[in-house]
Amino acid sequence: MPKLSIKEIYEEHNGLVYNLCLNYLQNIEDAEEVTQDVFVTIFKKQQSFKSNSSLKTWIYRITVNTCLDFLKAKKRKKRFGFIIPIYDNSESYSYSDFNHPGILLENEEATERLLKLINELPTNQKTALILKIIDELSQKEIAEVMELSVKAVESLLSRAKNNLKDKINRNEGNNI
Amino acid sequence: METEENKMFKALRNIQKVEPSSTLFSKIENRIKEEQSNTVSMSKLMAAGVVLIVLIASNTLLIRKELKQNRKTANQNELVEAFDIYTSNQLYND
Repeated sequence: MPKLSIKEIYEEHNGLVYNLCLNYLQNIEDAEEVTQDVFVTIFKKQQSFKSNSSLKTWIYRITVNTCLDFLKAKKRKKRFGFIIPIYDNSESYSYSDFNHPGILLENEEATERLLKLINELPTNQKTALILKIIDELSQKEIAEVMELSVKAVESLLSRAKNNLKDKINRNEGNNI
Repeated sequence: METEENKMFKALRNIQKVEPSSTLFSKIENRIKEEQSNTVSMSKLMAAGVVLIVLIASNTLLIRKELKQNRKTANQNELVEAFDIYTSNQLYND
């Protein structure tokens, strides 16, 4: 593959990276920060990219991993501030205030509620769900991004949907 | 008819794609330049390593030489004290 400049890669993939960050972190400032991190990582690791997978898949993988690292670092920072107890090893991360410019005003409340429930899912289920429903990737593409088999992705998605349904039902029950 | 799943994810499917801010690329470029200026090249790192090794080796040699010299002087002093030898030229001058 001919070596592309970072500008060319940015022009081709900035929308993909920024929107995935937005959907994953649900905050403009966080998404901008992580998008910068992603492109700096791409620049640094460009030499090690092997064309076994497509550039798009590789960028998706870096983006998901950078989002996760960002959330982990944020949780660690809060832990040092003693907001989260040291013995809490749960996967739950702390998200910034919800601020997603891609959501239409009339859907804002419902979408925010749904995304908050998706945030409560295990990380790999959340990732698979976002890639499938919002980014509309095929199961094969998701499998390549997450470095899993297609079967594993299929079961991950089915568990994610069931878990989400349960959470929605519980949430609705609580609201009554 | 809309399935339960479609209903559940309708809100997510309506999420619009957003363009990142126009200044984002210049921020990325600045970050890359910053990273590049902060990273030390391998040859510079190697040169610094060699200088450090030479410094440590020469210091060790000097210290060993000094210790050897001190030990020699201490032995001579012991001998002088044991045989009560005059170390000055006073007698000769007399």
